Amino acid sequence: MNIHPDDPKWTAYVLGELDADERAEIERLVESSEEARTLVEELRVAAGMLRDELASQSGRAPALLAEQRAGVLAASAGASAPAR
Amino acid sequence: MSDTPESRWIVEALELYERPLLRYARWIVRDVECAREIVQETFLRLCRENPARISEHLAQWLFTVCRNLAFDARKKEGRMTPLGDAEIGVEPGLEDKQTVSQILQIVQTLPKNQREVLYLKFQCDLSYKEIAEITKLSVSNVGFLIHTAVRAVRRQLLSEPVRRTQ
Repeated sequence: MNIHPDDPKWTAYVLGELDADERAEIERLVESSEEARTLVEELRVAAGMLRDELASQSGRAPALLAEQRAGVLAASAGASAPAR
Repeated sequence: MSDTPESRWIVEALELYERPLLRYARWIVRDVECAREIVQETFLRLCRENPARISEHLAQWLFTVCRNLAFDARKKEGRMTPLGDAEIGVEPGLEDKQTVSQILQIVQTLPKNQREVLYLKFQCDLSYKEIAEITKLSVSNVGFLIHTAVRAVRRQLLSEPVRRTQ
């Protein structure tokens, strides 16, 4: 079976964005095709490295100033609570 | 401040989204003080919202409001080309290649629409559907942009030795 690496479904599969039917289709391809297994593995590695790198940047993000945060919290006293 | 369900909701939202929103806003406006004002205004608007309307898609709501405020700010500052041509991407301080990993250097070479969806996916952990709502793109377009960007990163990583910096 032909593998089309340009199809966005491969990355969607790696990122858990497919529905059950689409996922099953990809899993059948992965099981039967070395080319598909290689493609998925390479996308998984690239996506993992992107997640690691970009997520690590979050920890170095700035925060609100104390007075800005206090302003939000003061305003929150008049906010409504979501239905749980 | 009293610890009411109302304030707890906002505190929880702050804990989860304050820093990701600040990074996102700073990424667009390229100014940390301006980004702080945008994020504070985002949360002030959250306080005025009806939670029943948005609590099921809080992240999407916050990033959408933040994005709109950030683009408005850029337009007001006169630093900005029209929205469609806006350059989103390289953060202040990241231009110093010595401090940036190979991955981030590759990301910086991607088109702005790919950089934005990568950020929202991998740094903010949003779904394709949430990203589509925030960016006003279709879900399939978001999937295409992310796939193209991940493949570009993969291709460049495979063609060069990986050099990771901490």
